[in-house]
Amino acid sequence: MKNTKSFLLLFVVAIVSLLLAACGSKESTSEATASTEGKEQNAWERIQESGKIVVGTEGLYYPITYHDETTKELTGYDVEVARALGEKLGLEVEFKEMEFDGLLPALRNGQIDIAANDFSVTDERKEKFDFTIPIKHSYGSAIVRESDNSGIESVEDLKGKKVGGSATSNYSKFAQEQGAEVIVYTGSDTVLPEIVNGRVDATLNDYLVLMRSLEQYGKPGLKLAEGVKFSFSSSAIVLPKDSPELKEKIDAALEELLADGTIKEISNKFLGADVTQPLEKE
Amino acid sequence: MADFKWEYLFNIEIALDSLPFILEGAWQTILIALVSMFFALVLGLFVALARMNRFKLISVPARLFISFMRGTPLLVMLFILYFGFPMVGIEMEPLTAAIIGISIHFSAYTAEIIRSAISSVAKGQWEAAETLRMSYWQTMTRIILPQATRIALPPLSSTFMDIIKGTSLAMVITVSEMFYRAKVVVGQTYESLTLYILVALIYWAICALVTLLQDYLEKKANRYVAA
Repeated sequence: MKNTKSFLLLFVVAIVSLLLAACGSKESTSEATASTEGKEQNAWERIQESGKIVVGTEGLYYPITYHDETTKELTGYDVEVARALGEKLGLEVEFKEMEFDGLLPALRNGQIDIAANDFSVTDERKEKFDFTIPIKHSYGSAIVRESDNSGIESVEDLKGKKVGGSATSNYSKFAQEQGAEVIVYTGSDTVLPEIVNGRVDATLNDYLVLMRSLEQYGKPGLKLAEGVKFSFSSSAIVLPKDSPELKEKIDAALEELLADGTIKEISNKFLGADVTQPLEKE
Repeated sequence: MADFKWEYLFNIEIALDSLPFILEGAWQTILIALVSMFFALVLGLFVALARMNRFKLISVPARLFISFMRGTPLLVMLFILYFGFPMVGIEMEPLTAAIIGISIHFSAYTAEIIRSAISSVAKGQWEAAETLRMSYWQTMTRIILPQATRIALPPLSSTFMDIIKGTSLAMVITVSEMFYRAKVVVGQTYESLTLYILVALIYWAICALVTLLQDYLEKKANRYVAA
């Protein structure tokens, strides 16, 4: 009995002290943000000093960021753009591979300097992060079952359907808004067989990415839902909030890479099309 | 430590906001853990008895089963059951796959606990039962198992806690348990540390309850033991 009591006491003390620590942290928030200005301005200087830029990416998302079948090397559209960017800036590029859902929290925590994973530029994300200039313009579509289209002919049909994707993906949010049930998968690589076997009905993504995924999947049973076209969007590399110097440097480098055709070349290689030009909205 | 970001440590508002959503997942966690523990115990008892059988035809497969289950990660088992089996036409619900995976994985551990508990009951007990002309099953259920239970309680409750924590792996096969839900909230708020601390505290609280249960059962099992 004595043991139990002292144990419970310890438990309560632990929780209370945690809560207190948390309250204390809230008070210090204003202080912290005040000091971030000085610190965040140094984001670029810090990178420059270390001579390398740490890029967060998923590594499981064909053809944006994946491992080449023969060389096993990390490659893909966003990966190669990041490499070109590093070269332009005279920095060594270090990739950190993690789950998609971990990328933005890691960027926020400073574990990575930038996140390159086909991030659509959205107002919601802009509240917490900065974006570079767009490096990809495209629109969203869906992969469905070949046999019955998964009952999805247009965006409206997504209502009540099961859509597989990452918890933090923009496409998952879109699906939710259309009234679909989102099933969370931790990697994009596991979703396609799940559509074939009927546990989910569709997965949404950029149509170019989806077409390439279908090619790579290489098994029958799936197709692109031609009728599903939505959110003409732009993707960019994500930067930590309030780091103007970093943004300036990276944007300037990207602009050069766009102008001299480097990014266009990478785009043609990985996506089979030039995605650097803004699309005409329908 | 100049870089320590206090403002991300624990955001109480978001923790409280998401608490109902997370707690719904906690029920799922407890449900999976209870059902899995039950099956792990039942299966474990049979595996332990098979492992102790003097016929090789029975004991060798049990040995192999224990060796394989203890030698493979639960995460891999879940992937095999959920993402692998559909390839050969065996499909199951995420929840079913999670319960089967966790049950058989941990049954290997409970089997070893039960085996060591049974063999720690003094040989004289078997001999005494024999002089009373009790059968194997009578001796087992009336004399050996009650004594073995007392010995097995602390390690079994450790296993139960491992099961509770192991349920968090079920998130990779889309089971909407507590950790899955925490990740969903992280997806909406990017407050990763807050949510992970929150679920850590809830896991801890659940396991603390198991400790209380263990204390109670131990006292009950010790009733007949002379001080």
